[in-house]
Amino acid sequence: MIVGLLALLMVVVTEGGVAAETGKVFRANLNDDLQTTDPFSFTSLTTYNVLSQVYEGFTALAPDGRVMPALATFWHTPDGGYTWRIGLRPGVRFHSGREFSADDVRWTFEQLLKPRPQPSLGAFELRRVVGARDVEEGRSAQLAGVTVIDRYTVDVRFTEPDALFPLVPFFFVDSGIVAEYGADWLSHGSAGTGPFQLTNWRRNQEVVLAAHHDYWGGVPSVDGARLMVIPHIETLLVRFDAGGLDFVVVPETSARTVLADPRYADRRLTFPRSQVRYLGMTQALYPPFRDIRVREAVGLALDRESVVTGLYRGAAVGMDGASPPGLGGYRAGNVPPLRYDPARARQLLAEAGYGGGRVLPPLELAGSDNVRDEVTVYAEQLSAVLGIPVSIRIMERGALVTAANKGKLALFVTGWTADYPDALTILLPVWYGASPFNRSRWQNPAFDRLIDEAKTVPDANRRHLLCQEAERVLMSDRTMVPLPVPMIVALARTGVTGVHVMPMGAVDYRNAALP
Amino acid sequence: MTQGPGPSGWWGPVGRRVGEAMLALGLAVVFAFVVTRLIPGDPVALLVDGQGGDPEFARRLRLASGVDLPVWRQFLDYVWGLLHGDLGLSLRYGGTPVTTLIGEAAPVTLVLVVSALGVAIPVGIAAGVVSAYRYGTWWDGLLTVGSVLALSLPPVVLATWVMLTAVAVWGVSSVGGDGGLAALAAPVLVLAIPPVGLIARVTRTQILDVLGQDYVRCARAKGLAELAVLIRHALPNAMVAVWAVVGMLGGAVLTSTAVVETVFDLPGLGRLAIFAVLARDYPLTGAVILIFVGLQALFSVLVDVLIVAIDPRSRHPGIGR
Repeated sequence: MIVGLLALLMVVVTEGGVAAETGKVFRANLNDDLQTTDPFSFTSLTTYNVLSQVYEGFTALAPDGRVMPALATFWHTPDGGYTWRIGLRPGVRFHSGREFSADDVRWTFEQLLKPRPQPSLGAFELRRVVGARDVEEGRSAQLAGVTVIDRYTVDVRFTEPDALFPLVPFFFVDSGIVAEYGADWLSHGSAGTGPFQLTNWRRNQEVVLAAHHDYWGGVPSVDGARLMVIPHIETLLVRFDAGGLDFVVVPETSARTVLADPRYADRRLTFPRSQVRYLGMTQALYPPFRDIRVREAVGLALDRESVVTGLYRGAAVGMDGASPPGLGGYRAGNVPPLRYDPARARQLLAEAGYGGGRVLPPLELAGSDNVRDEVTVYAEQLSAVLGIPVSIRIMERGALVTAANKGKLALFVTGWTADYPDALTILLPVWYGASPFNRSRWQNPAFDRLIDEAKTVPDANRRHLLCQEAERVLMSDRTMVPLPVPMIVALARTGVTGVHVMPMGAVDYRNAALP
Repeated sequence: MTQGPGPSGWWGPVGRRVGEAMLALGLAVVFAFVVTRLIPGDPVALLVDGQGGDPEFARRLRLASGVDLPVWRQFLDYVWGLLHGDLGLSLRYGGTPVTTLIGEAAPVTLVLVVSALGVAIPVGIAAGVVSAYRYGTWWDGLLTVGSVLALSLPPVVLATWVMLTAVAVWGVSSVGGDGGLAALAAPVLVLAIPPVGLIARVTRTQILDVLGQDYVRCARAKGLAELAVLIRHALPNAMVAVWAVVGMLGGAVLTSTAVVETVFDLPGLGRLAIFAVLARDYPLTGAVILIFVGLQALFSVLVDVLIVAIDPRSRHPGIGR
């Protein structure tokens, strides 16, 4: 009976079939499951990272974070971002074998705008295209703002300037897929142009991909990939140790354990993250923060280098500004470096009136569970310099995000991951006065004016200069302290080479070499 | 004159158990709704990985997911949906119907639980019988210590230890669903160990209690061998209490699947529940709670029916007490 039950269990667990490992199959982990495989309806970063191997947009990211052409070969705007003319790469084949063309661009945009149970970020990025609302509300099936000039050229018109449109990571979909498989095409076909085609998603278990042999960028070096959903760190490391995984992206909460483990010394890799971390100070909730000298003292009290070398054994990137290295608009030395100077911090506090027996009111430093150790270190350093005990509040990530977005935390460690490769992706949501993600509710009219202008400048160089000026305004006000950003820690099986983790977290294994 | 085990004697206790189970389910409906909304955190913020970039997009997501509606309205929609067999759309899984997700995951969990109990019940009873039969010997001591250990090991420790051992013995294929029958034996073993401990303890205690009864002494006086006395007379009477414990164990094993499925990479309801809670997926979390309560209630009713069938006293309160 027991054998029968186990056999039944095997049947239900492997429903849909176990991936056949024929040829060279790259095996890696996912720390979270996909949300969906529908390129028209996803919002999560994990889903984006996996689907980015299947679908492509106008542009893509190089491993160092630079923008590079993908399905577009050129893009320019004659009228300051009101119209974008985009030239498409000829000879690109979908997984079906059909050729990618301007019609697919228009069809993809129209599909993105159709009402769905859950709207996607892609649909949201089209909201300023002329006629988008008509398609969204069902008044028109065709998107008036998109004009197909010829097979490889498309014009997109906007109701207001959209300086960053070519950088938006759209996923273009084969417009012939519905005719071939019907509305349920997701269960049957793969409809991208990317280096891999999706062959199976077993929810909560794994994603199986096969190499696209007509890929315009060159045939991938592996025949396929199996990405297994393994959220439990012990299970993940056991499977890696036993040779069941070629490559592992270590969950951030376990990165320090792996960094400290000598077993992994020769198989460990680190990659920079397109992310910022900062210590936010909310002036409305803690009146002493209204004094710039107190805010500056907080910055000078933190020995951030000790976190880089001590906690992260060098696998973290120290920052002095609001944009991470590698992001478009980042300039080294744009803002003066922030030193660790406890003596100067105490002097500033005294000048602000907090000396000679008068102490600051109690402070609580909040952070989520993934930064527990940093929060502990920073709280100790602040206590030592400010002369008051700084208590710690570790919150579950969802709870912290909600409280921070509502502006309910006086002193907190938080961060932001880039959505697209431009400094605006950080400066706009995190520090713009009216943004709901401006968690410390800091406002500065000069900063907001610069951001308002940068949003409308299509020329990347000019836009980046505006972003750099905005960053200088932000940092001169000492409203936050930039904190080191831990690098992405990965493990590669001995002999596995050619795998990169992109700055936004996607694993690029098209050139992977397996032993 | 004694009453026979006619249907009239069955319906009372069985009906009462079914009524209690329905009440538990009704309370679970309210509990599942309230408790999911009490978890701190914003499902929409988590849907976009805590970012979203724009308030307008967050507003659109709220509108589409219904989380911006007044709570009373959400509750009415939820109850109305339940009455029509609609568990809603998952926030975490891009608007996929919750019934689809439950339908995919439930068979894994159900077969795991049934397999674990299928192992635990005979092994636990056998251990209890041996322990009672060898009362006071080193066999008894060994089995008693073993059952206490089985009961006291935290599921996550036990699961991780068994997983590491299984990998050492069978290799990496022993984790996950593609490793064959031997691989799937490990999670079943983890789920079965604590129930074995409890069933063995209860069986031993009950048998030792029954062995002191007059009718057992009578059986011995007739010259029956001790083992026959134990199997034919003591064990059937001890089983009523054992089945009552098994009824409660169903729920305990069910909740342990969250840990076991996570450690062993099995795509069942428990692991789905963890993803759902972390994403604040209200419809999916509520549905998993309901399914767990429903399965526990069903299991309890089945065990109660079994007890009514094998124990006349439960059909006629007062008789034999």
